[in-house]
Amino acid sequence: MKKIAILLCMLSPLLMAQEVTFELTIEIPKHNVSEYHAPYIATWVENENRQAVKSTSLWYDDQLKWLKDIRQWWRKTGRRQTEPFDGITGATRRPGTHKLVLEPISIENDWPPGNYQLMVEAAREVGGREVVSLPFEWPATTNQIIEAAGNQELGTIKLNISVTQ
Amino acid sequence: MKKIIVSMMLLVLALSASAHKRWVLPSLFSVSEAQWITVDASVSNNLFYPDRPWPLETVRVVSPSGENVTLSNQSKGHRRSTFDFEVSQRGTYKVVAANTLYFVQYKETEQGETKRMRAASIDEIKNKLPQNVFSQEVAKSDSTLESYVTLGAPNHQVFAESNGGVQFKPVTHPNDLYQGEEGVFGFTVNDQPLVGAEVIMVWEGTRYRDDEQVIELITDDQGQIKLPLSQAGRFYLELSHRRSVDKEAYDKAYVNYLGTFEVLPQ
Repeated sequence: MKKIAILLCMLSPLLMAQEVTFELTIEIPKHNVSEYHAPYIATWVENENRQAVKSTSLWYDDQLKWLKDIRQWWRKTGRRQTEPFDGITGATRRPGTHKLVLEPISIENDWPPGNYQLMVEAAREVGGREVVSLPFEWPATTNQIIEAAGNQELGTIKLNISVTQ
Repeated sequence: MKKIIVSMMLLVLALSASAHKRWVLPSLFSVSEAQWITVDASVSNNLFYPDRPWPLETVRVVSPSGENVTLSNQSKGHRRSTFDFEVSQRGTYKVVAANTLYFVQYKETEQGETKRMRAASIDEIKNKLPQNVFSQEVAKSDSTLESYVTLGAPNHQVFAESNGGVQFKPVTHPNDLYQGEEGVFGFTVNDQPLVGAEVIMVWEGTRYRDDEQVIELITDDQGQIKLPLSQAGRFYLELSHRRSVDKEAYDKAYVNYLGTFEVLPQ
């Protein structure tokens, strides 16, 4: 009996492990241009030293050639990756508002507590490039919505952080 | 007086006077996909506007794993030489043209005129030089011209390879230069830090400004310079140095290093 109780005690943190879900709503603005290509969009998480701690998503059209133009993502994480790229990957999206649910992150991961940013970077062929940052605190303890906006290549970006048992 | 003029001429030759910049310019410095890179090679005053071609015989391209890469479509035009090479391995490639030349001046008799000779080796000097000259002075010149191209993440493998002359030992990888940051480059000769060498740095687009805006730097006691990366764009670097000579085969030794780099915006 005692043995079982000890085992349960050891297991309980695992059973209790919280997960944090990052759900993004990304607005891709419409551009009235004759040659339009949907932007490549990457997201990643940065720590206070502006180092990437996790590469979380990539929307691209399987053309590696343009990945270097997602400049910050490329420098901080992309260039050290090969296909399949880390996180949620998919084809580019057309102008409009798109939902992107990132892989859930365990509250017991190896990120030291502190200030982090979810970075969203867009680079459009024959167009511009823009990066938007959404600051959050880690570990996240409450559900929250963080909002930011770009000027050119990104519209309103909403980050819905929800903590689940 | 004549001797001074001659030695000045030698110096000019050896240091490849900064008024005429010799460079290679890859079409891209950092890429995310395996692809062909095209390279221009020229000598010009304006950066990077080709003016005169230079022969590609000494050019090699070294892959991240240390193999020599085939140069394709080599051609010599009126204004530039050009070639292509294929970037297929992840890591950093080096385009290098390393060259050692000896400049000799000698007099056959005390009253004779000073003659000059160029040779590729000490043996060549011995073979060419008349017997029993009255006086001779041999200057060795090691010239290294390089540029670097990276597929994926940069690595430092190609900087381990030795050419004999100046070795480029970057602290900041040359394909990891970003506007507003500091770039640190180091140089060695015979595995020793090249201390007190003069380096000039010139941003591209000299044609569009009144002043060339040469940035003068001197390597510190670790043989390093700190580059002010005040803008994004490409720049030219030229290191020239007269080394102290510890060999009897020559009286003077010059080393130089020429490089072309790119700084990316953040």
